[in-house]
Amino acid sequence: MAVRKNQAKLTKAERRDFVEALLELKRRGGYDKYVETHDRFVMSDLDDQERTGHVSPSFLPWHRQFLLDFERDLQSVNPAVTLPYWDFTVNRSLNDPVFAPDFLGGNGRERDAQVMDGPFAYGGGRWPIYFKVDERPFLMREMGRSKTTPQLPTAATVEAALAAPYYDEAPWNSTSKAGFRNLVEGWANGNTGPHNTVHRWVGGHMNTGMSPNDPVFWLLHCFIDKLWSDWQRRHPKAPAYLPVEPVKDIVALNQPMKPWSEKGQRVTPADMIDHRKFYSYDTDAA
Amino acid sequence: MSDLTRRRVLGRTAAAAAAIVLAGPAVSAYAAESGHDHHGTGSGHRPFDEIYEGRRIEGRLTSGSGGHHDFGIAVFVDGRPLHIMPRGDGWISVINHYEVFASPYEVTRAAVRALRGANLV
Repeated sequence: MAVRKNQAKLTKAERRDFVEALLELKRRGGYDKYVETHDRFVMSDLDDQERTGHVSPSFLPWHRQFLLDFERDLQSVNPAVTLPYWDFTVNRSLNDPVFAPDFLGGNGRERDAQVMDGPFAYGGGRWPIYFKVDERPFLMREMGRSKTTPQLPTAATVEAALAAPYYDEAPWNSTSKAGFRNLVEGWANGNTGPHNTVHRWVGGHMNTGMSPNDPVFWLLHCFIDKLWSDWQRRHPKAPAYLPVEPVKDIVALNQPMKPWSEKGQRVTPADMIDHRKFYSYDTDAA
Repeated sequence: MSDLTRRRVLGRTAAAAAAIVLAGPAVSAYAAESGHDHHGTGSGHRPFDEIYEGRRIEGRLTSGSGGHHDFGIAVFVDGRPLHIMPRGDGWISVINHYEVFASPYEVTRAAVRALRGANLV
């Protein structure tokens, strides 16, 4: 069983293997389809129309399968690699080992937001940006420079989401008030929740619909994925997913999700509830 | 969905994309696809056309006849379309996707700040 680990606890070799798998997948042309798919859903997910990847209950199961597909592609490069998670509530600074030059590299420079160090710096020639919103061909970050989001989320913000007694609620979109899904996705409480906050704090590509251009996307979402499992463990009597019965424009418990259904694969939220079918987290009880 | 197709194609041909300038009529055509109304005309959008931080920003009212991505206004930076969408009681764009702004005007100005002089593709 593959174990997903805290990035701060990876060995030097594990860090190198993860980075090399990313670079090799990119070189083989297998990376950018994830950027494209994510952007497609970002653009089509609307509060009052069909929505699957974001602003809807299936935000968590959709990204769980999205990460699984990506992790399997990384494992086709190196079977030992698993997605690490980034607990952004711990270090909360640019000195976090996730941004070290031997891992994901640091901040973008002031002038044009270009990341200048680490394996994903444009100068290294191994991380060109193909799927983008503007002409800039390099990875961009603006960490800590957002006036509205100068700090990463606190542990208290994450705790507030984990404490939610139910998974999600009508109207099942960005205006849902108090369910776990919208608290952790982040639109609730004036858009202050953890997932959206991290996207804004990192900035650059991470603040765009093409956010998977930045490899930190996977480490953020791996932690969000872990939080869904943590929430389930905390609330064993609450349904792990809602709604159970079909509701217009959203994916109910036993309904298939796009894009997999478009390829003839049936992936439902129910299929994705128990992560232990696929992998474990290093914090799971033995 | 022609909007999405356009963006994917541009993304794949990134090197050439910078040379492509989308004409206004083409933009209007995809903005006016049939479908159901969202935040169409009558929602009080204010058109704008001004220079902000050296860039021309425009908000052109659209037909509001509906369409998945016709929200009653289309916005542009130096003539190139910026995809925006309503979120909650505000607006987001493909550039500021996780940050909500009060109006199409404000989300367009935020995109200009993020662009640092670069052109949209």
